[in-house]
Amino acid sequence: MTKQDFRSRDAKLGFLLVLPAVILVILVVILPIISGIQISFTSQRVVGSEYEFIGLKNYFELFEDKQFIASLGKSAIWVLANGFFQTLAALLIALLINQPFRGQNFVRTWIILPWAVPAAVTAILWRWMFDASSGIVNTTIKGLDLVQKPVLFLANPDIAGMSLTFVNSWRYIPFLTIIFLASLASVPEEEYEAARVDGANPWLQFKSITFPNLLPTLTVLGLVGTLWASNVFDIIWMMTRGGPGEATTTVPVLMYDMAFYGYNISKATAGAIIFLFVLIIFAFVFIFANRKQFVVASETFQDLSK
Amino acid sequence: MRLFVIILIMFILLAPFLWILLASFRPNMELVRNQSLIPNSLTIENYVSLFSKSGYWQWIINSFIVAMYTVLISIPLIVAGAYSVYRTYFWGRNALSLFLLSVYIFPTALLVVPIFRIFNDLQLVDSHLGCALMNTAFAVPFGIWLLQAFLKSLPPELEEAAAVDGIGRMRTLMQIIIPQVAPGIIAIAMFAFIVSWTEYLFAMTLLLSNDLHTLPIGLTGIVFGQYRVNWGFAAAGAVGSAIPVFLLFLIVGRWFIRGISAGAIK
Repeated sequence: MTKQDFRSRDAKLGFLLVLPAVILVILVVILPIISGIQISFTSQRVVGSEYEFIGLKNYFELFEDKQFIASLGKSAIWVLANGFFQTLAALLIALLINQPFRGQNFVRTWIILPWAVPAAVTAILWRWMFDASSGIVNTTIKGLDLVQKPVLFLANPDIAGMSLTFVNSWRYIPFLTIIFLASLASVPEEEYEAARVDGANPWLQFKSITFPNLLPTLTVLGLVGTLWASNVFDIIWMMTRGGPGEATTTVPVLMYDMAFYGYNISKATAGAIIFLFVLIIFAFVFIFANRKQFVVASETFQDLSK
Repeated sequence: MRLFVIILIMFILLAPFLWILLASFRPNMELVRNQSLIPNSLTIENYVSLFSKSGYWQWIINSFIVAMYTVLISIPLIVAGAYSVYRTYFWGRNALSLFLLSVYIFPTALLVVPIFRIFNDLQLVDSHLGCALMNTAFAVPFGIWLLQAFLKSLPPELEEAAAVDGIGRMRTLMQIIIPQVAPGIIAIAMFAFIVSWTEYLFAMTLLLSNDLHTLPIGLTGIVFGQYRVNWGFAAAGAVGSAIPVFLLFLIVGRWFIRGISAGAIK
C-alpha cells in the first residue's frame, strides 16, 4: 500500500467516524435553532397554536423591554462571576492538591461529588442550609455573633445573586478541578526533572512548564465553562425562580418563564436568539484570540499520513 | 497550612452531604424549629414516606433507563469521534472538533421550545429515548475532548506497525486502540451517566406523564410543589438521589480522573 492510499483511506475513515456525532448535533441542536429562528418571526403564543408571520416585531419589542435588557445585564454579571471565577478557583485548587499529601487519593475521588449529584439535590441542600429561620448557616453565624438578624441569603435581592453564584460554583468547581488535575498529570515528569537539574525554582517551573502545558486545557475550559455558565438554568430556577423580584432573572430564566408561564414562545425564542448571537460573537472573539490552542493537530499524525 | 486549606475546601464541598444525611433521620418538625447540631430524636419516617408513599422507585428506574440509553449511545459516538479527531488526519478536522464544542453555545432553555415541536413530530416527546438523545448530544462533544489526553498519549507506532502488517485502520481501532483506552472509556461512561443523572431541564419539558418522570423531576415536584417545604422528606429524597452516584464513585471513582488523564495517575 502506498502512502498516498493510506492517507486518503485514513481521511475517509476519520471523516466517517466523526460523522454520527456531527449528525446528532445537527439533529438536536442545529435544526431546532433553525426552527427557533422561524418561530421568532411569528406571533405564536403556545406550542401548536395558530400564528402569523410578524417579521421582526418580537425583536423590536424586546429591545424596548426593560425586563429583557435587565436580564442581559444580569447574565453578563453572572457569567463574569461564575465562568471566570470558577475556572480560576479550580486551577488554584488543582495546583494545591496536585502535590502528594496524605489522603490525596481520597480527595481526588470524592471532590467530584457536588458535581455528580442532581441539580435538584443541590437546590434542596442549599435552600435548606440557607433557610432564614432554621438554616444551619444562619444558626451558625448567629451563634458566633457575626450577625444580629438572620441573613436572607435567597430572599434579599442584594445577596441572592451572590448566594446563587456560590452554590453554582460549589457545584462546578469540583468538576473543573478534576479536569485540571488530569491535565496536570499528563505533563511529562522529565520536563520537571530537567528543570530541577538546571536549578529552576518552583515559580519558574510553573511558568515555563506547568502553565504552557495547561494552556490548551485552560483555553477550552475558559470557552466551554463560560458558555456553560451563561446557560445555567436549573439551579436558579429551583432556588429562586429568578427572584426575589427579578434580582436573579438571567436571560435563560426569563426566556423559560416567558415561554411556558407567560405563554409567549415566539417572543421568548426571539430573546434567546439575541442571547445566542451575543454568545456567538463572544465565542468567535475568544477562539480567534486563542486560535493556536484550538488546533488539535498533533504533528506525529500528519507525518504518519503524508 | 496547605493541608489546612485542603481540609477547609473539602469541608465546604462535602459537609453539606453529611448534614443532609443526618437531617434525613430527624423529624420534620424538629428541622423547622431549628437545625441544632445535636438531634433530639431520630426517626425513619422520612424514608418511609420516600420509599412507600412517593414514586421514588419508579423515578429511580426511569432515571436509570434514561442514563443507560445516554451511556450506550454516547460511548460509540465519543470513541469514534475522538479517534477521528485526535488520531486521523483529514481536511476540516479542526473545524469539526470546534463545531462539536459549539453545542454549548446554544441556550438549552431556548432549545426546549423547538425541540418540543420537532420531537413531537418524531413521537419522541414523553419518551425516555428522546430525553436521552438530548443528554447524549450534550455529553458527546465534551466527552470527545475528555478522551484526547488518553488518545494522544498512545504512541503513533501502534498504527504504523499495524499498517505495515497490512491491518486495516478500522481493525486497528477495534482491536488495538480500544483495549488500550479502556480506562478512558470507563471515564466517559461515567461522565455521560452523570450528565444524564443530573439533568433537569429536558426531563422537565419532554417527560409529561407522571410515570415517566426522572428522579430530579419527581422529587422537586413534591418538595417545591408545596407551599411549605417538608424538609425531612426533602432531605431523605436528596439522600436517595445521591446514593446511586455515591455507590458509583465508591466502585469506579478512582477510574474517572485516571481515564481522562494520559494514564499517569496510579
